[in-house]
Amino acid sequence: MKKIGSKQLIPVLMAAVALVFGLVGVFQLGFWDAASGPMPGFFPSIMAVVMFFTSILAFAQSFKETEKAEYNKFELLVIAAGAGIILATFIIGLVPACFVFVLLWLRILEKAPWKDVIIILLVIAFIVIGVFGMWLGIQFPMGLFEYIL
Amino acid sequence: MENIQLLLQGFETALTFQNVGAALLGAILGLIVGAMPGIGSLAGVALLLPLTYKFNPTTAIIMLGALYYSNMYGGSFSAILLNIPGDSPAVVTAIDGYPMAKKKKRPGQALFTANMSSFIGGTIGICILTFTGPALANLGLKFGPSEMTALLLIAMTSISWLVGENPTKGVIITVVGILLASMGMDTLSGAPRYDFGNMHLLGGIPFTPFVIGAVGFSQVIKLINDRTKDNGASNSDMKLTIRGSLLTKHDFRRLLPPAIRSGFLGTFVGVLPGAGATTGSFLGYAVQKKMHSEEELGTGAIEGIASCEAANNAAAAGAFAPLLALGIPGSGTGAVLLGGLMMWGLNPGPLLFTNEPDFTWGLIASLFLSNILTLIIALAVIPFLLKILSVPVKYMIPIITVVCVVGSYSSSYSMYGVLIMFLSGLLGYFLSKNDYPTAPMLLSFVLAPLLETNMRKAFIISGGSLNIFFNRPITCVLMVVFFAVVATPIIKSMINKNKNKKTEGTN
Repeated sequence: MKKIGSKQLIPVLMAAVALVFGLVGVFQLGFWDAASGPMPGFFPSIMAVVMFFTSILAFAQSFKETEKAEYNKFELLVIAAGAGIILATFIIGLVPACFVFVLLWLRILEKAPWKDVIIILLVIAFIVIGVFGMWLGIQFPMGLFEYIL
Repeated sequence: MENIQLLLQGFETALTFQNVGAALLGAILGLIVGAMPGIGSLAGVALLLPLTYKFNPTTAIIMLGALYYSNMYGGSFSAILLNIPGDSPAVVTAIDGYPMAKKKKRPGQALFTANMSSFIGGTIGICILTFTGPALANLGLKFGPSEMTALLLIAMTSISWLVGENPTKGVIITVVGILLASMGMDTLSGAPRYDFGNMHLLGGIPFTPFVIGAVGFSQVIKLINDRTKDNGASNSDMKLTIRGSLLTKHDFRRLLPPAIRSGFLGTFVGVLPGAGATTGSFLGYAVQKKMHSEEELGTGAIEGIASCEAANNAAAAGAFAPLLALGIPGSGTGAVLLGGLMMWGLNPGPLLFTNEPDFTWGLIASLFLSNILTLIIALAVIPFLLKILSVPVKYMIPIITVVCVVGSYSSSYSMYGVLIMFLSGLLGYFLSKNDYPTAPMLLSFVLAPLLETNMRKAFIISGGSLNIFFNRPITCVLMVVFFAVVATPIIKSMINKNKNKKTEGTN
């Protein structure tokens, strides 16, 4: 018996999503009205039906695939870093969260020399603060500082 | 002839020292903003509009035209170098641009191709606008929902070329894009749709953070496996000069036919209300797929970059026809431009060309001028842009991550945008790990809302009858083209199968 991996899980998830979209589309949003024609659920419901059946087909085909999807722990580190920036933004604000991320990433993971770290931080400061913040006038969230100030 | 005379008068207005300076400044700023992922032409023009307050009306409008135009050039830079499309038309540019820069190690030539094609497409667009602007605008008005549905169906066929080896996975991923695009407010009735009680989802999934995540952030996650490679050393053979980035004669011969073809096609698409540069670039690419390309599209082909870049710049020029002649903006960016023009006392409409010839022809002349200026600047900055590629991968990872976060925040002014970027990045990563191509999802995400709206409108008009797609002459022609595009590969493969069977039989 072949082990269930992400190649099998994705079609199952897709079929579930299609089922939800199809059911909500037909029963909640409406499919067709004799007077006013297609309803909001018309187009997505048809698409959901297509997706449901192709997902079943993909699930069956997935057992024929010989190569397994391989995940690297470092890849998960980037995902964790992305989640970390989002969480840290609510506490220290978006710009400081980005700077802390770059600093920690380069010093701890990459063991980059301070000279390189400072150059990269300056480049990022130019892009984030100079271009986006000052020139284009984007107001970045300041996290808890916003409430304190 | 009268138009040429008026255009020359327009050049007289545009070619003063102050106006050329304003156009130059507009071109530089527009290029920078256009290259920033997450800003795009709409936000770019809106953000830079206040800069024009400092000038007199004519100079302000010339600067506005340059800003708008150069914005279109900038979108391809980050798409080619980082695989992060600066705006939605650049999604198609990334399909061939990034492989040409990375795998073929010809980033300078990829940028050169994009710039030259943009210039050719833009020039064709402005020329058509000069001679047939008002007439073209009237033709655009003949395109109702059924015609737009047929046109969008043709544009949707471009997706089929990107599905890869497994068509089942291609269909799934295309529908995922369509379903994600259907979340939020129903465009016709205004009713909430698939918001699941969430306030943010009521506004739908914003395109820019979605594309930054699905393409850019997922790319960063995969890039970590290359962090030990010294990018600087591996790219040392690249020529970081303009001369080293020049195209060969052979490259030019490959670039010209698709660029010219897409120039005409893009202008026409730009005229249509609601179609815009994105549909233009998809359609340009779809048509190119039907034509001869020296290399397969999607593998870093010059023809691929040329077809979409020329189409999107031509569409940008074409959008001026309904804007000036009828006062109808074809896109969000057009609406901002219209606001800018009205702010300066211009009232776009049928009488604009006769009542305000100085303004109108000055603006059209400035489009020619800014097209040339932007090309010069865009070519001059190629060596500096190429330096990005010599930065080691291990340093690029945190830089691109920050650009993704900041870019997605800037496009939505909300952490919701950042969250969407993050989640779509995860989705893109897991899908690509399991051999699902992400490009069809992005293309269907952009085109599906337009297709759905027009299809439903057509059904409402016809009372649910399919006849509307075959009764009207323009729709009928477009539907025939659509069926021909769909049927050709099927018939071809059947013929080939028959041939193979016959040859096997004779052997």
